Amino acid sequence: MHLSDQEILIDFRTPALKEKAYTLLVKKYQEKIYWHIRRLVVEHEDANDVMQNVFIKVWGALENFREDSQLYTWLYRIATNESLSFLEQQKRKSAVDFDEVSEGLSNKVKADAFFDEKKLEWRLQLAIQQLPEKQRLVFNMRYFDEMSYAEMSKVLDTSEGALKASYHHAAKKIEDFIKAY
Amino acid sequence: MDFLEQIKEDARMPNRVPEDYFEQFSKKMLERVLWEEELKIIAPLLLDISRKPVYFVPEGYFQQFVVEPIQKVTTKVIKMPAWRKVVSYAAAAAMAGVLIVGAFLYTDNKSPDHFDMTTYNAINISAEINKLPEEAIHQYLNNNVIGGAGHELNNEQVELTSVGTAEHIEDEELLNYLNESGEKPAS
Repeated sequence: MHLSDQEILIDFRTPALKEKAYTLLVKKYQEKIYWHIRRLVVEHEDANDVMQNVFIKVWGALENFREDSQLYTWLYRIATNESLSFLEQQKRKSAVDFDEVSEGLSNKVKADAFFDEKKLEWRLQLAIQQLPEKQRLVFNMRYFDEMSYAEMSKVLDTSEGALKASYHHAAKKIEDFIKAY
Repeated sequence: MDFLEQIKEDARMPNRVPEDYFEQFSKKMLERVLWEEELKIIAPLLLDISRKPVYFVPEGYFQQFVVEPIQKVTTKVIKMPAWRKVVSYAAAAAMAGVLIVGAFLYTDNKSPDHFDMTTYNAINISAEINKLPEEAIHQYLNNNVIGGAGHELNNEQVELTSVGTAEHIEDEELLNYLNESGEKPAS
């Protein structure tokens, strides 16, 4: 069933159709949201936990969603905040510094069942883990999701100029890492 | 539009596209071109790498994904009738009352903190004992002091019938005992 975001929102605000609309919303965006989260937290179990939290929040807040932003941008914003909170909790639990966090994430990448360091795609994943958190986030949104700087600016509350600079730095660093690997 | 009508419409228009697809198409194409041009300048190597997801995901994960707590929230909850709530609270209150009163009475009478030393000090123990009949004192000592009836000394049972009395023993038996032990009988 192909429903636009607008139709899903109207149905969600109709008590009899609320659950059905919610299910459609989850089905429509789950893969995009999952991969956005997964690229940040790396492990599947963590990504699943974070995604659960994201859609629980969506259930509670969608009724009051102001349509001055796109539903897609709004979902990304919740998913980003939840992922960053999760990573922050992990850092606080283990009390590690940036290098250790980066190493931990790289180890998680290497532990994946499909990991193959000969393949460029996997080297790219390892390179991404070397970036500072904000750069990693910006790079993922621009490179994988092809988000415009205007959309990213709404999700991250950062100026388009700053985002562009961040993305350029990140892309250059990643290329250097892959070449040197 | 209900579910069946939707299926019929999908069948009539198998290649139906999202409502705003054509409006968005040119915008998306332009964005895509800009995205590629940008990457060509800053990091061209990244254009040659596949952007398909590489991580392992359990089979069927997206088909089976459900938001667990939402399922619980939307499950129908049967409300308890109001009178049952009142009865439950009343029973709990009564039980709490019984426990509190019981605990108060018990601690008030039994606790060493509440032992009345003034009353105890006022008792003249010697005078009180003198008031007791001698028979009662003997009875008490026999029953309670070590060595009394039923108590054991050095693992030997003390038989009251043999203590302090040889009257029932025959003379012949006494003579035999004295001869065996080497003692001379008294004249």
